[in-house]
Amino acid sequence: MPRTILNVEGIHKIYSLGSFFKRLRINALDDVSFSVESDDPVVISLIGESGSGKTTLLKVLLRLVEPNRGRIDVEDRPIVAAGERTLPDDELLRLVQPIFQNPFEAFNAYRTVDKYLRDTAVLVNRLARGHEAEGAIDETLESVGLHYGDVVGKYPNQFSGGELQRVSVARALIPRPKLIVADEPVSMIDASLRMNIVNLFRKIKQEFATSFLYITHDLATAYYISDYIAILYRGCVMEFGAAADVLRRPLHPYTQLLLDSVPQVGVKWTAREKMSDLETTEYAFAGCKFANRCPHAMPRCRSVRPAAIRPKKGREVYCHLYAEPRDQTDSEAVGVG
Amino acid sequence: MKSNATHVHGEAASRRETVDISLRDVVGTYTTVRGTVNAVDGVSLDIAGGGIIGVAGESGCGKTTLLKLLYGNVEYPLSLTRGSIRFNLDGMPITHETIRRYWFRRIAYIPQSSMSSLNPVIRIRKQFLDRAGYSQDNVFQGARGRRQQRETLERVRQYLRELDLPVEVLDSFPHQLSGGMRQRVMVALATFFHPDIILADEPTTALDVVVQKGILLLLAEVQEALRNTILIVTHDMGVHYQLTHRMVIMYAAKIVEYGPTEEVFSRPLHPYTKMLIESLPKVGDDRVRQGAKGKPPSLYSELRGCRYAPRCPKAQAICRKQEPELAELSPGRRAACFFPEE
Repeated sequence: MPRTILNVEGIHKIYSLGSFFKRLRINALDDVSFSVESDDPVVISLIGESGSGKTTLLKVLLRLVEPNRGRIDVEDRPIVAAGERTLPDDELLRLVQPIFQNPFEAFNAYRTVDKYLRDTAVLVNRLARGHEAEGAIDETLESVGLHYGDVVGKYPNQFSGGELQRVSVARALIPRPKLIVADEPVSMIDASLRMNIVNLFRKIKQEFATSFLYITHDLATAYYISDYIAILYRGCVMEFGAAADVLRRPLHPYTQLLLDSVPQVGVKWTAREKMSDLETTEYAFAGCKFANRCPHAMPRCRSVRPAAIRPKKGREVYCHLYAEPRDQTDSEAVGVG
Repeated sequence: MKSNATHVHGEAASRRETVDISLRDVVGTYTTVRGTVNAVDGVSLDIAGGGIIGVAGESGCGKTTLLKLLYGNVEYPLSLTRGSIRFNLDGMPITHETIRRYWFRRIAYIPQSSMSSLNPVIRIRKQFLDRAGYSQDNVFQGARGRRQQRETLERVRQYLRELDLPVEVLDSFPHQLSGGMRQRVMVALATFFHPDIILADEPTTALDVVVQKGILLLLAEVQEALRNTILIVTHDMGVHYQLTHRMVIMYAAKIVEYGPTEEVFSRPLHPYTKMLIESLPKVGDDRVRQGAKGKPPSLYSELRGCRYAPRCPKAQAICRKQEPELAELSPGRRAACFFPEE
């Protein structure tokens, strides 16, 4: 039976803004569920605009933010689950490790980067200071194409963006985690060097049998490395499935809009779509959150949240367009309930 | 823009004849604690006006510095140490010394970060009026001033409607608008006076693809209606392909290629341009992509020969000794390479 690499079940997170009398509640994550089972390591991409909840989901996964409802399992072990014994913090760090968007902000400018590597080896991996820790660091740095001599005693500003991002990849790899969560790891890196980092992820996935949760808004690199893709919009999953399938044959109108908007070389844009003006209200929609901008919106879309429709195995789309007539009563019951 | 745009811009459109930009051996230098560094190092090019011109290149290649020099926004630590920049607006020469007189009205600038460019404590309406020259409060202006101000505000409303922006943004503070809406306000502010030249520095870099598409197509519509010149700096080659008519490629403070966008993408002349285009992944393309090897040279060090030579697969002995000229290889196409691609 294949392992569950990542299982996200009904995660809700509500942020409250404003004062006691004039409270604005933002559904940053509104019933997010998806699950990936596989024997081999996989790359799962979370795609969405800013405000889609992708970073909030990452924070929930790293236990930096507590969700209002829902559970998350990684490698069949509960990470976030109300009323259940979850994984202790130190074991969580050996199972899941993060890589952040801007390496210059991730590392303290007044601290040499090798200290971060040593701290990770000693505190997370429980290696003895000295040779044991340095051996592990050197070995990990080799696998990202650097040497211990290149980084020792150096401050972050002595590296280029690409090099420093390699160092942060190496840091995340030291505990040999089963899942690396990478939040926009290449958006700060120049286009010509970006593929080096992306290819490095591919290599690590094979060599260390590490899965990735790759958070991005760049569809092209997501297509290049992902096995699975989840498209988020305003805190809801719109579409989920195998990466090549979702991006080559997008079903949800939002996925189609996203793909049309990518400035690709070779296909020229035609017309301008309607742009969203009212983001704060969109979070509160009872029906589909995309209904306001959707070219195919029906009356039902505004009142009933579409349930997951599975056109084939491993593919989910949350859209009323694909509901078969006999399913309608089912999905409505789920939406109202 | 809607059809009535031509009516509003009719007078402006007929005014425009030729806008030419001529750069002669331009050197832009930053003074830093580590010494001086030439972020733009001896750039010479004549750019004929009209259409959208893209400036591409990676971070640190000098593309933003070139734009600052063009806009005449040269302040410490940046200085123009050598060379000259001239604009030709309908036969009227403008140099970098006189350019400030033409800011806003004839030469506009759209910055990358709209949050730090719009004044956070005054409403958008006031920011439009300030640009129009009404810097004083109503009290000191008298009846005539108040009437003029009302008329200007009415023109602003009409212009916003042309650009499909909600008129309500005028009563908002910048922080009440989303990033995309702020950037659209910046485009409206920059184009309100129908300038001859618009300089845009990474106008959509921080935005999502859907919003980016809206703003870029808005810029293209403005250009079509005004028939002016837009210079857009961005590192995203996809944006260049979608939007620009001609493009300039920069590498390590030098221009390495210039030509019509379609031709640059279909037949790049410089090996660097070729590498930039080929390293782009695409949705639906399963080929394995290789990133570029090496990195750009440090501009602090003494540089000899072609700056791309250490990373170039075609480099010969001459490339390391002698610097190639930005030569015209076919009509309208220039490249600085001894062994350009066929």
